[in-house]
Amino acid sequence: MQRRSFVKYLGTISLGAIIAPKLLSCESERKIRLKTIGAAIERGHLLRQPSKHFDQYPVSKKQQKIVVVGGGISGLSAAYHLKQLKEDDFVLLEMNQQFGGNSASHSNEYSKFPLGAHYLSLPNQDNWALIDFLKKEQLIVGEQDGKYIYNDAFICHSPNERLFYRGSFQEGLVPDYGLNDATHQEIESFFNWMKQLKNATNETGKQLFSIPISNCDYTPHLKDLDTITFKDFLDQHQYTSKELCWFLDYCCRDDFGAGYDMISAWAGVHYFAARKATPSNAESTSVLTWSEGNDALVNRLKKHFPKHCKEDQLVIQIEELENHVIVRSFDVEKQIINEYTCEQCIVATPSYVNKHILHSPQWPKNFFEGIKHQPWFIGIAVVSQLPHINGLSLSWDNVAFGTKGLGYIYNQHQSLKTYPKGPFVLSVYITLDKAVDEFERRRLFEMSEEKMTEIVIEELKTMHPEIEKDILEISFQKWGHGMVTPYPGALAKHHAFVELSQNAKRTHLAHTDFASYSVFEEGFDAGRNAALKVVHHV
Amino acid sequence: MRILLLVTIFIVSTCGLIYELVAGTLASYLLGDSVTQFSTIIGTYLFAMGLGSYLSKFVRNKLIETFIVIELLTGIVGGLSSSILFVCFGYGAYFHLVLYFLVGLTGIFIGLEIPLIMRILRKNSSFKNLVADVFTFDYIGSLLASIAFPIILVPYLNLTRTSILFGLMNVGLALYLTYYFRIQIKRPTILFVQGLVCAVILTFGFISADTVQRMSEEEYHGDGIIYATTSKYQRIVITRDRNAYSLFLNNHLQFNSRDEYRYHEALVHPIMSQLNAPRKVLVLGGGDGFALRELLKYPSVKNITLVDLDARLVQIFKDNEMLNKLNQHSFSNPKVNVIQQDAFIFLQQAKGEKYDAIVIDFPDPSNYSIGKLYTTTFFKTLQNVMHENTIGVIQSTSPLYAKESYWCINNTIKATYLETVPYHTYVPSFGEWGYIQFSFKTCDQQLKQLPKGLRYFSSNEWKSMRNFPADMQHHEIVINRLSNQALIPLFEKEWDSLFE
Repeated sequence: MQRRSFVKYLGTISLGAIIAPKLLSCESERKIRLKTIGAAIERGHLLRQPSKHFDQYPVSKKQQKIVVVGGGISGLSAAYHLKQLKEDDFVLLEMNQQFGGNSASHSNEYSKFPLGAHYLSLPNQDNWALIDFLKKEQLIVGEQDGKYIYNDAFICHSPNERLFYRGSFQEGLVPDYGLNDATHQEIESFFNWMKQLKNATNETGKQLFSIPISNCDYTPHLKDLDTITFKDFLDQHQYTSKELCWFLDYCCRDDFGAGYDMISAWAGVHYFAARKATPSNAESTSVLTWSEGNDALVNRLKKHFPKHCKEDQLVIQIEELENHVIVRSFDVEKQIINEYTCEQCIVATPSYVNKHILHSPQWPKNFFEGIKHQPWFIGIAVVSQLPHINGLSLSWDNVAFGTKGLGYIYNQHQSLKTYPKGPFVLSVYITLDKAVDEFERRRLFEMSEEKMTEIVIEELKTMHPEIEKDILEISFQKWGHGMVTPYPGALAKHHAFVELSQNAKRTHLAHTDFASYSVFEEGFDAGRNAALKVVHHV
Repeated sequence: MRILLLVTIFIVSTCGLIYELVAGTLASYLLGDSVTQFSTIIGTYLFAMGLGSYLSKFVRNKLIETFIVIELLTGIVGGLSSSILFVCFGYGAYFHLVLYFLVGLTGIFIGLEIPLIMRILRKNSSFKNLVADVFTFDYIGSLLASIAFPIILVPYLNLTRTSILFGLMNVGLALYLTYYFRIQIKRPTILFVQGLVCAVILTFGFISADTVQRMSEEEYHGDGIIYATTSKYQRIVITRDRNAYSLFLNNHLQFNSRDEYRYHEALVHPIMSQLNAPRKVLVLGGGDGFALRELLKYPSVKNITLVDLDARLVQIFKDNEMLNKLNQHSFSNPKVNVIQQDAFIFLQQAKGEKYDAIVIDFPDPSNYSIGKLYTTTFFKTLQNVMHENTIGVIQSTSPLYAKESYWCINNTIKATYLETVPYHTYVPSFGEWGYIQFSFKTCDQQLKQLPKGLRYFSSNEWKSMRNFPADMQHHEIVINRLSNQALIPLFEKEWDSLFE
C-alpha cells in the first residue's frame, strides 16, 4: 500500500468545496481607500496672496524677549538650546497644529508613520551637542572604549536594506549580484576613495567633510567641486558603470530630491565623506529609527518647553527695527492677528517663506532666491499581505533597481514581534525630480489621488507583481517644497550665509537650507547656533 | 426488474465493503496497530449490519422510497467518511468516537438495504431463488471490492477519493432507481432533487481534492504525512513511519518520537536538578508539551507558564489522542497555564513576575524573524522575569554542525552579563545537539535531585555533556544584536555547507 495515497488531499478541502461557491459570489468590485493628509498647503499659501485678515488691527500686543518663528527641527532645537542656556522668556510659533515640519508624523489603525523624515544617522564623534542630547534622552546608554553604546531598541533592526535587482532581493543597496569584475572593482574603488576623503583636511589640519557643516573648514579646492555637477565630476574620474551610477543617482534623489546630474559635486562627495560615526554596538552606517520617524525626536525636544509652543500661528511679517523686532502672526484657527515685540528673533522658516515675511536690513531679499526645494509626495500604503520574494526578507528600506521612485520603508520594522503579520504599512517615496520649476510644483499640487495611486502602485509592482489586489488603502502626503536641493553653487551660498549671519544683530536665521542638506543634524546645529548668538546678544 | 435489483445488490455490497476497508486502512494508518484496527472495525461493521437488518422489520410500507433514501444516506456518509476522519484527526476531537460512529452508521444502512431489497423482490420470484441470487451478488461484489481496493483504488485514487467515488455510485444508483420507479413512488421530484444535491457535493469533493503542495511535501518528508495544516505562523506537518511520529515546522524537524526523550531530558533536567525545589517555571516555545512532561516530574513544581505564539500547534498537542499520549497529557495538567503570545512581547510586558527556572525551546535561528529571539535585546528583556537564583536554558542548535552559531549564541548571552554553562548531547534524529544554561550567579553545577524514571540523563552523563571535544570548540566573538542579526548568516552558512 502506498502512503502517498493518503495524503493527496485533506478532508477539509473536499468539505471546503461545498462552501467555496458561496464565498466566491461575495467577491465584488474592490476599491482601494484613498485619502490625503495634511492641511499645510493651504496655510502656507496664504502668504502668497495675503488675506484681508492680515490688515486687521492686532488683537494682542505682547512683549517677549525672544521669538522663535517656525516649529520644525531648527526652531525646536533653537528653543531647546535656549532652555538649556537657562533662557525662559521666549515663544515658539508654528503655523500647523503639529510641530516638527518635515519630521511630523501621522498614524492609522495599524501603525504610526512619518510624513517625511524617517531616521537619524548616528552622529559623528565630534558632534558633541547632538551626542549630549541623545545621552540625555537615553538614546545613547553608555560608552565603551570611547565609543558610544546606542539604545538597541532604536537602532534600525537587521535586515535594514535590500535591493530588488535581477529578479531577487539582495542585501544592501549597492548592486552586487552577477556584476562583472570591472564593475566590482569600480564600485570598490569608489568607496575606498570616499573612505580616504573622510580624513581629508585643509592646510591647517581641519576636516573638509563633516556633519554638521559648521564643523568643516573651507579650502579653495572645494570651490572647484561646487561649480560642476556630481555626474560631470564622476565622468572626469571615469566612474561610469551603469550600476554604480544608478546607486549614486539613487542616493542623490533620496537625500536631495534631485539626480546626480543636477546636484553639486561637492554635495555628492559630502554625502559619502561626511559621516564618520564609530559606535560601539552598531555599524558606522547604522541609523536610529522609529515607526513614527523623527517625530520621536520632535517629541523629545518639545517636552522641555511645552508652554512656550504656540501652534496655528502663521507668521506673516518679521520687521527688524533699530531697537527691536516686530513679529506679526495670523492665528489660522481664530482668524486674528497677534503682535510680538521682541529683542531678538530666530527665524527658523525655509527660504521660500523668508522672502515673503522677513524685512531686515541684514538679509537682502534676493539672498533667498537661489535656494530651491523639490516637490515630493509619499504614498502610505496599507497592504494585507506581502508574500516572500526571492532573496532577503522584508527589510526596513526596500528599493528596486532602476525605478522612478525611491522604494518603500516598512513602518512596523522596529516591532519586536517575531513574525511580521499584516496589514503592513509601507511608505512609498516619490520625488518629482528633474522638476525644478514652478510648473512641476503646480503639477504635483494639482495631481489627483488616482494619478498618485497609479504611480505608487507602479513603484510597488516592480518588487511585488501581485501586490495591487492586497492594497487596502493609500494615504498621500504632498510636499510642494520638500528637501533643499544642493545645485552647484550650494557651498558658495553656505559661505555667504555664514558671513551674513556674523553681522546679524536681531534676526538670526536657523535652517537646513543654508547647509543645503535637509537632515536632522543640520537643523539641530542651526537651531543651536542661533540660540547661542541670541543669548550672547541678550 | 430483477436484473436491475441484482445489480443494485452488487453495488450496495461493493460500496459497503469499500467503506469498511477505507475506515480500517485509515485507522491503522493514523493510529498504527493494523491488526487491532481492522478486527475492531470489521467487528463493528458486521454488528451494525445485523442491527440494520433487525431495524428493517420496522419499515412497513414505502419500501422503495425508504430504500432510495437510505441509499442516498449511505452515499453521503460513506463517501465523506474519510474526509471527516482526516479533519477529526487534525482537530484531535474524539477521533475514535467519530470513527466507530461512522463505521456503525454505514453498517446499519447496508444492513437495512439487503432485507429491503429482498422484500421488494419477493413479489417477483420464489424465496429459494431470491436468497441464492441476493447472496451470490452480495459476495461477488465483496470479492471485487476487496481485490480492487489495494490494487487499483488506493494507488490510483487515494483513500478520500475512493470513498467519494463509491459514494457517488450509491447516489447514482439512487437517482436511477428514482427514475425507474417514478410511477410507483409518491413524490419522485423531491427524491430526485435530494439525489442531485448529494451528487453535487460529492463531485465537488472529488474534484477539489488535488493539491500539489501535499504531494511535494510528501516527497520531502519521505514518511507518510498524517496531518498537515498551515497556522497563522507556520506550516505544521506531522508524519508517521511505523510507530514513530515526527513534527516538522516549516519543513524543519522538531522531534522524532523515537528519540525526543534524549533531547527533552537534556533540555530540562540539568537546570531543574541544580535548583533547590523550584516552584515556578516558565517555558518559552515548546508547544509540543514535551518539556512540560519532563518538568512535571518534579513534585516541587507548582506552576508552569508556557508561552507559545502558535495556539494551533498547542491545540493539536493538547487534543490529538496520538500526540497527547506522547506528552502524557501535559497540557491537561492543572499546574500548566498556556499563554498564546509572542515570547518577546510577553517578556516586555511582564509585570514583576519572576520564575525559578526558564526553559527556552525556540526553533533554530534560520531566519530574521526567529533570529530576534536570540539577540542581546532578547536576553536583556528576559532578565525582567529572572531573580538572582533563577537558572534558565536555551536550545542552541548544533555545536558540531554549526559551531560558530552555537558559540555566537553563548557570546550573545554573556554580553548581557549572564553566566553561561554550555553543554551538549547526542540525539540520533538531530545529531550532536547543544544547549546553553544561563544565570546571574555562577552555578556550582552540582545536581541536587533527579526524578526517577529518566531514560537517559544522569549525573554521570552530566559530566561528559559539559566536555567539548576539539571539533566542537570555536572562539567566535560575534555578538548577535537586533541591529546586525549576525547569527542568521552564520547559521545559514554552516547548515548550507553541510548539505553541499
